[in-house]
Amino acid sequence: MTNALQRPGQPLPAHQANNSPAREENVFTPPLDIYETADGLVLEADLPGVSGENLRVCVNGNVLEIYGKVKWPIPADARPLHEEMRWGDFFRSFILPEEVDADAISAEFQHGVLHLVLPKHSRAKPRRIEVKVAQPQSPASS
Amino acid sequence: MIIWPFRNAWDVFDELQREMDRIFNLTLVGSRFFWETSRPFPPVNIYETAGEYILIAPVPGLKPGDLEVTAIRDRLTIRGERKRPQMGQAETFRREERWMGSWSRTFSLPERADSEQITATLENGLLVVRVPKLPETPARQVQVRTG
Repeated sequence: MTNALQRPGQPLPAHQANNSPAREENVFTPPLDIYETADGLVLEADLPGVSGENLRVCVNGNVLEIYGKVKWPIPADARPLHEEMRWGDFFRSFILPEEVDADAISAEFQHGVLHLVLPKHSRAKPRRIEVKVAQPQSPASS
Repeated sequence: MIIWPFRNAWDVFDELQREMDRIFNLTLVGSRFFWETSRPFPPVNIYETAGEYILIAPVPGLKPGDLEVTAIRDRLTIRGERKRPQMGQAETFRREERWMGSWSRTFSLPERADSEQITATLENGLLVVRVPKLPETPARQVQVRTG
């Protein structure tokens, strides 16, 4: 498991800066699920072929960016016989909803799946307001 | 039946069924959606090097125990199941793009495949099956005799 979260200010290894023009076309949008829990949101993205050290998750203001560099475990001189998919790096960005506390985001990465926990601000969590029973006024005072 | 542009090599089983599905789906509105969904899952690429054949398939989220790779004679089957984690009662989806479920795909191995020596590894959510090649059998001269 790798903690892949980067703090704001750390530069994203820009896929645009990649020297190879062929790779630039092959940037894919990873499929993902987002679900809501009592404490916030959980995001799970499929990034097969990305290793922990090649994954960057950045929060810049209210924008969350996921960038994964794929290492294809096939030797360069291998001859393709049958191809059903193209491969390339993964990139996706989101605008975080206001209720998410960007400073408290945590990330885990295992078996090619990124698991991000996006906790809500404590003020955005449902809060139970205690209802106090007002003391009945004594009839004598009225 | 699709004729693949390579001979005596990996030819994909169940291709007829797939092609029929595709033709059927193409007649429907929004055929691209059907084309997308009628693709075999997971997608597989097959490569060849001097010494081996390499089959690769993305299987994110799967652990070795969720996968089964079997080779019987000239048939190689990969099988897997991805289960959606149990969700809490209060949890609801906002977005659901990942496909979960069980799948299987079968390939016929090329003639020179050494099915005894197949290895399979899981590398960052990619299943890599390596099939070593048998040494090429040299042509044998057959003497023609008079009966």
